[in-house]
Amino acid sequence: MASRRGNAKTGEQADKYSVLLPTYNERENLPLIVWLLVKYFGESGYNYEIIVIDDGSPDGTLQIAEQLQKIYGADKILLRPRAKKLGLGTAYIHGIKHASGNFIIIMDADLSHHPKFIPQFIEKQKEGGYDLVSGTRYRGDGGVYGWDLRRKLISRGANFITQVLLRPGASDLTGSFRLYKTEVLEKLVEQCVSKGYVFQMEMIVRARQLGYTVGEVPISFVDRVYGESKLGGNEIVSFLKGLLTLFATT
Amino acid sequence: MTKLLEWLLGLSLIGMAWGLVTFDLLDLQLPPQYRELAWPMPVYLLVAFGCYSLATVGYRVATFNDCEDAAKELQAQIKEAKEDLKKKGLKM
Repeated sequence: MASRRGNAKTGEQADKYSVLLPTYNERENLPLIVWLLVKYFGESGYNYEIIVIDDGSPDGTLQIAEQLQKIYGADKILLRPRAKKLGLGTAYIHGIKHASGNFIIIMDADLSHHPKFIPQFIEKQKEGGYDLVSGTRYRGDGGVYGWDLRRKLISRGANFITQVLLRPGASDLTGSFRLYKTEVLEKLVEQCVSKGYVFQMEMIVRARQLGYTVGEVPISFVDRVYGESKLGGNEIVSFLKGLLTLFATT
Repeated sequence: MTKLLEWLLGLSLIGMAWGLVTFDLLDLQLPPQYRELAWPMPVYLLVAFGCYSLATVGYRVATFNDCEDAAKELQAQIKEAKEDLKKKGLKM
């Protein structure tokens, strides 16, 4: 544990970035996301590790992960699976326990988040000493691919309501492509009680409450190369419920 | 203070100010123009906010970046990754 924070004397070389990849049925995408992570971390020279947290995927994700571990080394690819599908919050807690980095990167394993932005997150964090850096689809040249008008409308509408009600000081609250200082992520996950989209929102709202600084980097979000993602009435209702809960309790 | 409480506080203050002016609760004998202006203010502000919201969301939807290049780049990299991984011995 003492080595986790790094040695101030050796400076930047001591920084290590742990990427948490919670997976469920990502047999197709996992090798690709790992390949991209290895590529961009390799090119940038930052020290890293990838922690795959598979929730008992029936499609053989863990077996693919084991092959990747053989290819890239067990020091770079850590497997910390769980028996069944548990929540994202607990996946983070589980991942943090096994992470040796002083920074943690959370992202989706389905290729909607592109590792090429990670060096930008890292540089942004160094630039401002931020406690967390959030990828935003809504500012700068951030954006999305594969969304129809309805989806964009819902997204912008929901974000607008969130901005009005919570005034969070961050443009993209529901995004889940972020870099955190390890101790900050630990503290926040402890405090957050919501699920799903609202969990990510709550993390940022609580971060601001606790006085943590938040930086932003525009990212492109490429929706679901393989498989379908849905945003139906149920999701919208539970989002609004969660938003109002945050509104009333934070 | 929670955001809800902030809102309630803010709305109460504005509501009181509005009530004071519109109904002359403190007997300030303000000129009638003030009262005529204040009376429909809540509706005006609501409508103004509604228009602002529609305009803002509409603008943001219209200018929502479509990342065509990112998608193409990803497709190309997926191909590259698959070939490289096969070489390295991955059985998919």
